[in-house]
Amino acid sequence: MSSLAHQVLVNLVHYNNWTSVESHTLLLELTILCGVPPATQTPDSLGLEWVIPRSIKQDPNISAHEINGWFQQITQLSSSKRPTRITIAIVNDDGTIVYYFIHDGVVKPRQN
Amino acid sequence: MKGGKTSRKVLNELYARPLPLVLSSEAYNVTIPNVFPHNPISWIYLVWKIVQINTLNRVPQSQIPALTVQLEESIFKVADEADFITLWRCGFFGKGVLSRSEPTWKERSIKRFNTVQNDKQFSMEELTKKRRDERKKFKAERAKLQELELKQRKEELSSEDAASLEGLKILLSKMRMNPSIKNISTDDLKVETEESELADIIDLEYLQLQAIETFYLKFALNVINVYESHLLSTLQLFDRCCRLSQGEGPNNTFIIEYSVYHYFRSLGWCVRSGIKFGCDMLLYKRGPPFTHAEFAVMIIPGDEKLCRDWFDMAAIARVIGTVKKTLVLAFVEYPNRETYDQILLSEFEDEKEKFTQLLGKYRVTEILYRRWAPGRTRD
Amino acid sequence: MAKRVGYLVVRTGPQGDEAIIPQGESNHDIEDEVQDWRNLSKSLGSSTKTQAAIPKRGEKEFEPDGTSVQNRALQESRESMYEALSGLRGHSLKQKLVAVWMSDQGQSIVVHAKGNYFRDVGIPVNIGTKVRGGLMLSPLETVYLVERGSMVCYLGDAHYEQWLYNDTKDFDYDSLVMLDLGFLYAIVAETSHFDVDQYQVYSYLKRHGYLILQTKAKEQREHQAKTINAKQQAHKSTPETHKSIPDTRNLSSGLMFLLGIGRKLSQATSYWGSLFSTLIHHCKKALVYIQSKLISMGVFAVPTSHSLHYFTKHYFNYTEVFQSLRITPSSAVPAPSSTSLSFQLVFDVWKPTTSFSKKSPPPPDFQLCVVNTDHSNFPSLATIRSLFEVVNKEEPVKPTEKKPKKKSTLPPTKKELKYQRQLERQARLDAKVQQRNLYLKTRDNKLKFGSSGVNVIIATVNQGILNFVNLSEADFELKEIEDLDVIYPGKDHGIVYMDG
Repeated sequence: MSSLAHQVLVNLVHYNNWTSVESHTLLLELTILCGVPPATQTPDSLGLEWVIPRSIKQDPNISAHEINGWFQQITQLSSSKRPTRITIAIVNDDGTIVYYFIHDGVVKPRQN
Repeated sequence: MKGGKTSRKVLNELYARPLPLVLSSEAYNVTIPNVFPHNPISWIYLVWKIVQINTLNRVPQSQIPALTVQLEESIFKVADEADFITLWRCGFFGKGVLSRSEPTWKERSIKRFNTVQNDKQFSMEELTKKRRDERKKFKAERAKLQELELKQRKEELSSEDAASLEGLKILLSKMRMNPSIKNISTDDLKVETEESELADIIDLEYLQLQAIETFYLKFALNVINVYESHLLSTLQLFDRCCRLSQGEGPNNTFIIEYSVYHYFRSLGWCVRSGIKFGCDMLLYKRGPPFTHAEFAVMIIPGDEKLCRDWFDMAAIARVIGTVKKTLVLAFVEYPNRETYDQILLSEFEDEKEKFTQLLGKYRVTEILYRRWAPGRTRD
Repeated sequence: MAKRVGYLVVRTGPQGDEAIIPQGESNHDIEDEVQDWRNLSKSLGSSTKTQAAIPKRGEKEFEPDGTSVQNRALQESRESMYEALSGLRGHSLKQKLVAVWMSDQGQSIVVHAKGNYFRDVGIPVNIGTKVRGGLMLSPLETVYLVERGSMVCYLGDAHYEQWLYNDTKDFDYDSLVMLDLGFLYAIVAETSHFDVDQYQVYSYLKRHGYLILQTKAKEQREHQAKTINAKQQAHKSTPETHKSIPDTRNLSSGLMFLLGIGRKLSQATSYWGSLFSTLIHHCKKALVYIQSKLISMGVFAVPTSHSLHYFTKHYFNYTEVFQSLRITPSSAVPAPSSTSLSFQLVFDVWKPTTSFSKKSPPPPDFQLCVVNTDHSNFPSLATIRSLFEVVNKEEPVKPTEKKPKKKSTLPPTKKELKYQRQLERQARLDAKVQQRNLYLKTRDNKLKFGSSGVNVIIATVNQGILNFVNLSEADFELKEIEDLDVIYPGKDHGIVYMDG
């Protein structure tokens, strides 16, 4: 597993208290993590979330094609239906990790 | 810090040093006497004091061993607990990898597994958890209210419903007015765990330094040793830092960022990463436990071709505005390739001299960016 | 540019829930909301104008809820809009304001300027004996007044010009083509340098009550007003009447001269006093300097640019450590290259005030550039610098504090009470603490709003949507700031850390 993915994994388990965190290393140096957050939000998928680690130093331009690739990989990995969303974990050089959901298409906004 | 009961005095003692350097006045408990212009004796006394200190006492910093930093897989790590406490307490360097800033993971874990009781201090992470839980409760109540309001609109509201609708309105406005974060008990944070887990809370946490922080501690203050299988010289460290970031030559991201970092640090600001606000840096007057950061810095290399887009700027300014910070654009003018190479390749007696020369070719210019709302400045 | 991708990105909290946006954000701007026309009809509907209440904003509608409530609200709003638009509008014959667009001049002339619109609009023009106190209006001004329904504009022709420069009496405006808005837009765009972006900014600020003069165009137009005066000689209709008007310029300059003498006399008496205080001030500065030099004379220290510096030099406070860390840029920094031409100051803007003279305006409160987001990026440092060079450096005149009107019957607001208590608390403090607080407050303001006060506003226009950005010159080193030197002479103001 890459150092980047490892950083995210440790953060998910020990900082955010996720459970059942697993890593899947795929071709092209892409590692995808999955796990269950403590407060599960999506009722449909047993609370499993998919996480893509990414460094802030990497190319900031991510193409729609690339994102679609992630969704496809995950669909294959989980051998189930395509997830409704994934999480991108952006790792800063001070170790801060910020998480963003990427939804597969437009979703209803949440009331704040 | 809001919410905590830590008094200013305790903070001042805990974080007495803004840099990991020990002053002679602190080490030898001496002060430099005041000078009165009309009193020549005070002048003589001052000179005498200075001579005395310089001849009798060694400079305290010369007796303090350097802190150890490891460069492993592109991460600058400080593993020794004493070292990371020094770096955090004296200038707020680095970040606990399992904490939001100050490395408190071990303490939190101990508390979470309930091995230590009667501790009334809450870490920032614990307060946030509490706040989130409260917000969730609020939302649940609000959902109930909105359901009733919908009924009302459909004109299906029973008198019973109407009563609970009024009740909910009052409850919600109360919840909005006084969040109860101040009175949390340790019980709220406990987690049910298996007995076996209690035994082994190992120290998983280390302090991670940014490249700019590492270089500052090495080049400017010379209080750390950086190892990557062997001890790195300042030049070698510079090389590694540049390779970890984008670009090459005089405008590589590392040196551009570092010139800004050094500039604000040398003016006594506590400088930390601004990633959570979409900017490059945050400036704190003393440090995170004292006040919120008042300024957010966005670095722009002074290159004509690299103009920023209006939309990106507006987005960042909006975020910075909502958290009541002032956005500072730090333009960096940098030397040409020739000058840059020449300084890096030439021989200097001392490595610090080389980089002092090099950084002297960089100039930081600040511009404040704020939205203007014509509707609000009429009078 | 907005990127059209079919993914929605949402910031998430560490617990897997979405992040909370801060409540009650101060940046909320009513301008950002879609106008609800019902509010208009409500305020119009109220019997008298004084009763018109400020429309109240409700919670935002969130999603369809299966009822027709939202649809009905939308329908009502729409109907209100049509109702508002169908209201009868017109010009009262007595107060009808008439302008004539002069295509060859690229501006319009108002022969009889009346009403309250001209405090910052138009350049005076006199033609013969007929036109006294007439005004030439720029394209922006002309369109603005017509658009707001305050003025009627006709298209000038040869007859009209003939009439203007000759001595015939009345002119039948009905013989001219009256320009409706669409026609006016077209003809103004065709026959003058009409910049739609600038117009949008101009009219937006005017509607907010600001007073605006066009920065660059002013001289040009004064020149044009003169050409009109010259033109009348070509028409040779009336004898010169200029000389009958006394030269007010000479008169006023004479007055200024006398006033200047008076001021100088009064200054002389306080001269020695101020000299003495400057002397003391400089002494204090020198003393602090000498003291710091003496302290830094570590006998065995290596220079600051040496890695062993902090091992060899005694330090007694952190201020000096920070000073030793400072790297002063050498002069070898490349000179600023070309600046962008699209950034030009176009408007001088004043806050609404009752005392304003367009003839001798005070220093402007704001100065604006207008740029289109499609054609320009955020300015480079060189461009910003060149703008700072040309902006007005004089302090805007602060509004004189209004004398408290009759004792307000209202109890003081919470804010006022808080402020009052703060003042009282401050006054009870030790003089030294008070001084320190004043210092910190002054310093923070210099950091937050710029140390020199030099700033420029850039209005960006994106397909009709306006956004305003204020750029201020700043210097975190706070070099040579008089306001701070007065409080703590000789202190290094840029070092934000304060030794205890």
